[in-house]
Amino acid sequence: MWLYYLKLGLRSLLRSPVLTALTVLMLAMGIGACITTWTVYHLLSGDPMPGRSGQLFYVRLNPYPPGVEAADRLVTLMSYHDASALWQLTPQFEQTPVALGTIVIDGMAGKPRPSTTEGVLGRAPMFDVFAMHFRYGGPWSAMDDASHARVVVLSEALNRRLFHGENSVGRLLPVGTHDYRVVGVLRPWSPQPRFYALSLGNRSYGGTDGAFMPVTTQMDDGFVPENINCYAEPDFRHLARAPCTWLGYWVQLRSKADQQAYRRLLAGYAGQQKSQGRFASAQMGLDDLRTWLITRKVIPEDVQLQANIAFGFLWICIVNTGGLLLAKCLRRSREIGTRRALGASRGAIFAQFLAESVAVGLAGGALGLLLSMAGLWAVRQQPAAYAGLAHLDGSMFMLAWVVALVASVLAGLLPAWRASVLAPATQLKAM
Amino acid sequence: MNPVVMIRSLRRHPVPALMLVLEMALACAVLGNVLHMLERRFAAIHRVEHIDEASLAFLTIDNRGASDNADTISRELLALKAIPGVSAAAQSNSLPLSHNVWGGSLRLDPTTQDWTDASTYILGLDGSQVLGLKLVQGRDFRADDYAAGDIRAGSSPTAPVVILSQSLARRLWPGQSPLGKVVYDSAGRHTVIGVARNVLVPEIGVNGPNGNYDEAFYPSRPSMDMRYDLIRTDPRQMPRVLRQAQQALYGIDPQALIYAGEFGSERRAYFATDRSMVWMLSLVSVVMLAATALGVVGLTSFWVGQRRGQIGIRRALGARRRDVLAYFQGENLLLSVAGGGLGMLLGYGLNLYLMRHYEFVHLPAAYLWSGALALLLLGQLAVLGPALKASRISPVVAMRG
Repeated sequence: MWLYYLKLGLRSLLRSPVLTALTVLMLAMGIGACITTWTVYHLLSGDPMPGRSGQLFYVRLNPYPPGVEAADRLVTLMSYHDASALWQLTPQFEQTPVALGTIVIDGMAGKPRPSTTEGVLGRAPMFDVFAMHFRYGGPWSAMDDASHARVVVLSEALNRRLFHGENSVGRLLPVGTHDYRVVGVLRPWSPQPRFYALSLGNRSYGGTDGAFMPVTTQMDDGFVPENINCYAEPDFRHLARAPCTWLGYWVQLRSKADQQAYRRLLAGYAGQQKSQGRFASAQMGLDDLRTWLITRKVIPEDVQLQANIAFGFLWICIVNTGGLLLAKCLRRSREIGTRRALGASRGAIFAQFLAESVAVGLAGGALGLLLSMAGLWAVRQQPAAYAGLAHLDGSMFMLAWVVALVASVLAGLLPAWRASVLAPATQLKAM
Repeated sequence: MNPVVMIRSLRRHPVPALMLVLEMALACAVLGNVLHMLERRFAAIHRVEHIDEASLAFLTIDNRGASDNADTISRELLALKAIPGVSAAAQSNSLPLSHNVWGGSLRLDPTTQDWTDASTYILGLDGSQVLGLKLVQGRDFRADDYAAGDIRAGSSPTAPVVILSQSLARRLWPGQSPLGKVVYDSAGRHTVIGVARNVLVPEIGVNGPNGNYDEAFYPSRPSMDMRYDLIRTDPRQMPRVLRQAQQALYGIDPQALIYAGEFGSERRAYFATDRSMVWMLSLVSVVMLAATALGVVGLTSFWVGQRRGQIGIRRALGARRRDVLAYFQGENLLLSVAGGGLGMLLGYGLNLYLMRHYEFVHLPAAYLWSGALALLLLGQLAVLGPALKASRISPVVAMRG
């Protein structure tokens, strides 16, 4: 029966091709706008550490001493002093400080000009905590951290750039006036959003980092953090002692009991610092990865706005499509009257008109998908850091059809209802 | 035309009438908010500052290998000035819209904690002229001011003098002359010798939403902590000049990392996301208006067509063509007013929602009014065709159906 209605619907649609085309186009533009913006939103709000995001926690303190401005809020970064103290206080947990900065690689054989790469500084457990896997070699050791060893782990991309993708373990990387020994090369690793980079002053989405080094070592060699905030007169040349915050701090807590234990230790540390007069406040924060992403508003506001505007636009398209379908239905009251007189029930008329609208919706969905591919192509041409990620995936492809179906049913409900309640006698008399 | 009669007639066709009202209301609500966003973005992109942006270019220098500050830097600046087309060159620590934030907090009384955020610009010899500061009060830096200043521990300006932007001066001493007054930062004291016209901060919003022109300018002797070399040159020659400048600096230190940029294109890049948002919003507005026009035209023309019999009777009873036309336009006006009113309410609600969830300001009523007015005009235009067609129907044909 539905197939018959669909056939009737198609025939009626083809009878006024211009109007039908306009209706389809209208719905398609609404769907296209939504799928484009929602795809971007969907990609940017992904889980960067699937399966692990509930176990990763970001640690915060308020290191401001008494009498300093803004002493009453949690700050997003940590000073080296506190990061080291926490590290020593809670050795039973897997944790790592993180810092980001540009690393200058000096000229080497075959590449006389220096070049830069993004550097991630941490401690040995970083590779475990952030679920990084190795192609060659492995992480550096706790001993390397303690002895400030000049060791480096390369990203896949940097290894390709510098060593043509060969096993470079044991090779030397000239950084500043020192040589760093390569101990490992990672497999491709690029969580999106780059949760570990948030508030460290680096971009939140996009390509991979290059060089991973022990924070203890790089600090000796003149590391300049991307983002650094100071609560007293700083000397940037001695980061370890500087009254400045420039490190992120992550800890992996696998159970509720671990979380409680860590929270207690953290509160104990903050309280102790306050009673010693180092901190003005004993505030502390322990947020899981998801919460941290939300707190840091990782999804750019523009992306959220665009998704909202597109949704509003879709509603306008639905209502106007409904209006056009209604107009067509009003014009066809005689046809309806005839069908009713020949025995079609109200339900049959309702179904027939709804089928017509769904046919419009499916065509709109197909065209809308094409439009959203064009839209995503346009997004990829943007200078934003996330631009390269904007591709249609399976779930958004399915969503496009669902939106098309729902939109067309919504648009078709009122016309179908109007058609089904027309009294056949009046319409026939008018003939 | 009597609106009461019109409403009575509309009540006999509630569905198309309500549909039209809804179409206009939705469009009005969204349009008002979108226009407002559009205006804000546009204003953001076109923020003015009082320096000559077109002829300003810069080079950033990292990884300088040399250990002697003054000597290397004077060689760099000499090399830059020697390039044909370069009229002036000077060092600085940052630039407007460079994302390179040197934050600073100033207070008027060293015993209080009453800080005001201001961005720090540190300029080397001739810097205020090369950047193009326009002084409105006091005097410019002199050679001895530059010689007396330095950067301590990689971040703090030590100069005893400072020039403030107009915006910052007004914030610190509203209604008073700032000349000769003293500001304190965490490291020391600085006497205000001049006030310059507003320049933009390195990063919009870094000093809060209203502090985008709040900055303090300090003089300094040559320093490796200043990564920027500013140059002034004819905009048409800029690409060639910058290529030569980069080569000249490589010649001094082959291991340095040098980036050369034109201020104008950096500024455009800074606002690129705002610009794409402007495009997106404009496109949405146009397409939305087109969709609404289409919907209104479609619905109206069929609806008018459906009432041919009615028109015929009215014409037969003595209504002129003008009257038929006026009737449909009046009817559309009535629906537009209803739609516009509902739309303004919806638009206001939408703005409240946006304000709650995003960094949004109150939507001025003018945007809702103009949205409603635009829809009203659109409605009148949309109904014109169908109404004219209806008015041309001869009464006999119309009554026969």
